Amino acid sequence: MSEERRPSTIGLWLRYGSVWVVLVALLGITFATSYLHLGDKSPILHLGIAGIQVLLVWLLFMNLLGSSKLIRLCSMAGLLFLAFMFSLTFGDYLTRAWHGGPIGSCLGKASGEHGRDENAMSCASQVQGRGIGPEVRGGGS
Amino acid sequence: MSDPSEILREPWPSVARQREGVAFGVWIFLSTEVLFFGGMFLSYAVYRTLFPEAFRIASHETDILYGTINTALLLTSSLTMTIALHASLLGRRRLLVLCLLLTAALGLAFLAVKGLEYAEDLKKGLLPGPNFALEPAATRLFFGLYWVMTGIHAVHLAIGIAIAGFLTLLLLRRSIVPESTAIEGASLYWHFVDSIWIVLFALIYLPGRG
Repeated sequence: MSEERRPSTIGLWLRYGSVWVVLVALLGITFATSYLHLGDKSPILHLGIAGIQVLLVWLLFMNLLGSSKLIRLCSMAGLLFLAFMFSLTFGDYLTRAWHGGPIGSCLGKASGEHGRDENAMSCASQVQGRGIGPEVRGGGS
Repeated sequence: MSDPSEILREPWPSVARQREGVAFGVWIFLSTEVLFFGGMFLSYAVYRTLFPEAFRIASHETDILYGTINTALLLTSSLTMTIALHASLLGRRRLLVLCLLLTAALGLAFLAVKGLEYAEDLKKGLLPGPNFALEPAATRLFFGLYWVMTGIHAVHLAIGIAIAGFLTLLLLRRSIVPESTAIEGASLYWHFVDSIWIVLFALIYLPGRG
């Protein structure tokens, strides 16, 4: 930190207050847009805005921008693991329909999201019943 | 400004190293917290992928007004915590104590609003169990995750409030100087809890309204 330029109290509030204004503005935008009919795109928008807010908090409030490379690297450690965990897990779930087998038929658009109890339970039972074989079908086992 | 000897602790050779060490150590801890919450976020992501309509129905039942107010409270608390940290670095004791108290107060306000929200959720029958109010069955998955994730977050927030309160006490008793490196540790933890909530808000309150 610079020794010559000691920020005044007002200066601190202005500098970090402006970050706060951006954060709250993003909150307003994400709240308002939640009522729009975006369908499948809404999580992208809302998680995107959340991601920007988290970035602002991490870079400016937690001062990663002003930190050493060591600290920046350290802060990425947990996120790196999350990347592995999410990609491996979804690599499993999203490819269960690879050969159109019974487990895959409960996922995604192919199953149709009926919202009926039977379909929800049969999907869960198919996921749980992995390895039981093709006898596990929709409509309860 | 305080004498460096009042800030320096064992085993650090210099205050600069100590500050770096505190930041490093806390970030390692925060990485474990990322893993901790990450498991629950992964569960949410998987179940939302498997049951998108149920998750839409379920998240519609959450109270977005409470959620938005809480997010605004935490964002403001992050501002006051940042000012507290810079007050600490500048040796400004009164500003530091004021901002720590403001941060803790905003955190307590969050917990109060959360308590009100939990009470309403219970009245609406949103606790997974025999009297659960929603259909289809997969909405229980959403609410199971809701109670656990927001509950664990609230516990983390309470710990942060306790830390802020404890540091205020130490400062008032002059057991630590304002430039103490503990303030940075507390500040990093607090911002992290806030950033967890920012993501939670987007996952719990925003879907299902369009």
